[in-house]
Amino acid sequence: MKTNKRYFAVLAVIVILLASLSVGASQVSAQSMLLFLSPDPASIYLNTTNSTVVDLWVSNGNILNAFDVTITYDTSIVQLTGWVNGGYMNISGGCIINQNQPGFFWLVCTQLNKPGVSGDGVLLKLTFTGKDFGSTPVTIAKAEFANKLNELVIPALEHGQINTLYQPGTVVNSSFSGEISLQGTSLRAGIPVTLNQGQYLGVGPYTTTAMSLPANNYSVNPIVMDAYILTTAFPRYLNVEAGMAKTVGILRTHTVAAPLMLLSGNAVWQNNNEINLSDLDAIRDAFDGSGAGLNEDVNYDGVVDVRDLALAGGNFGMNSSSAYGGWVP
Amino acid sequence: MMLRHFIKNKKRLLSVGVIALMVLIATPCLPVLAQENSPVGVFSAPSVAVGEQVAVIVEIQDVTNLYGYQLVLHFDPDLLSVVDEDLFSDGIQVELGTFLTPGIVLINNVDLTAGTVQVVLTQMNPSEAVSGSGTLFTVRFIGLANGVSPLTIDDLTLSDRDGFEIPSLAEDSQLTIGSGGTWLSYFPVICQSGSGLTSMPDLGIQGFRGSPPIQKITSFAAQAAKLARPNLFLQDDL
Repeated sequence: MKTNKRYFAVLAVIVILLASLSVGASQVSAQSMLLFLSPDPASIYLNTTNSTVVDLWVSNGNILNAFDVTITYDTSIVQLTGWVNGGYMNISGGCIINQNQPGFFWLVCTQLNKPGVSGDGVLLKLTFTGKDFGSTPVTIAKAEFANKLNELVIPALEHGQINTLYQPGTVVNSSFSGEISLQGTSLRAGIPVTLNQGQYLGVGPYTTTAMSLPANNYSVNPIVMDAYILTTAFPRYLNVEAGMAKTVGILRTHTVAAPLMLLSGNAVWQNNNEINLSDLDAIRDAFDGSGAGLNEDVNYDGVVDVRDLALAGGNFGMNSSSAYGGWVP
Repeated sequence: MMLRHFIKNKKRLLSVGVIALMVLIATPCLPVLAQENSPVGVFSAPSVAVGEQVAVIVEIQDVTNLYGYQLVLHFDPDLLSVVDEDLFSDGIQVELGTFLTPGIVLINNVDLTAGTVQVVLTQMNPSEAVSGSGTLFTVRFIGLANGVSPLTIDDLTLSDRDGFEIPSLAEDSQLTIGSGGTWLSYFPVICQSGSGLTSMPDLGIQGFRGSPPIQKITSFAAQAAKLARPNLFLQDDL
């Protein structure tokens, strides 16, 4: 009986506090109150601990008693693996919503029978783990507070950022593979793929050659965990150039690049990564020619015919940037 | 009870089993059907009188994802000549069809000595590959002497946009040159307008198959005259 009464009292307090967060509650100006993430930007070293703690800070709070906060981020780069109370409020037992889904964290908590909190302090400590090399914004998508007077308090927001990178000096070997194919032919062997010098540890470059395998047909093992710019160099095709900065982040576990198909039609391919009139002219001049070594035989079938022309025509006007701009290794 | 019911329906079950087996056997055949050769050729049975013209349409049927083609059409140069459809280019050209958008015409050439029409063309980015049936090109032959000219196709290659060959089948035909009445299936005219020469290629009578349309020259001339007034003249004195 006694427990029931206490339960109802707690429930009533929660309902009252949360109700104060709803629309219609009186809203106080909170221009001086700020919610921000620290450190900003935060760093995760993929080749060391592969995690970091980001603090969600409250600045200039005034008799705060409850909050409703949502955090979003890019799930391809990081994952929020855990959180703990930062100590600013005593929310023990007072959280009624706690959703931690990939890319979306939602927490609604209140103090239970405690005085309102004022001043500065860490509301939450968020632990992120790296998933891939890159950068992600960490956005405070929603932040509402309630004070002791049941007034809604909307703080100013400063979003954060997490960069996932590599700790120089820490060499960790891993492995890498990917799938590369050629438009217009079933040939898959002999395509050179290079991972240029690592951006943080300076190891490399690594050069490998694709093999005639059905799925992943090129690999590098071992390879030092680092970020590398990937390039290709296959004659008569549009290649991925270094200037495109297609960066592969090698992870502690085996890293697999997204499949890539090189586009054909580049009959005049030396120092030229564009399908243009010079390619069409070359194919016209060599039309009906046969034999190995003809650059105009852009599909490597041993004869210059309408299939080579169709490849050049179908890709006419394209260059490496337009061909592979959407490819994320 | 169940067993009796089962035995009673044994025949029906057997029938169902046989049908299921047939379906299972037939299923692997389906992809084969999808990869059938696309016929290319002259699918009408044209004829022309000596000294007259006839439009012969080279068509493709039931093709999937066509982007470019190359072929050579052979005819008897002793029996037939060809009208040049492009007065502004060197040599003799045939009229290209609209099935493909001719982005890059590598070869469009008639050799009256060898008796060949060679066409090599492909579409161009951003044109998309096309499927279905349609006209690749039209040759306007002139009858030179009585006889039967074979119309044979060789060096036929169809390509999709990725440079892969599309299976094809060249279908040979023939053209009879006789002294009978002249029936045209197609009659392009060049009209004089304010902006210069204008081609009037269609008139709604091309693209036939099986039964050539019965239209006399004078009838088309009358239609052309109606459409192209006031400054009409015919390219050829028919």
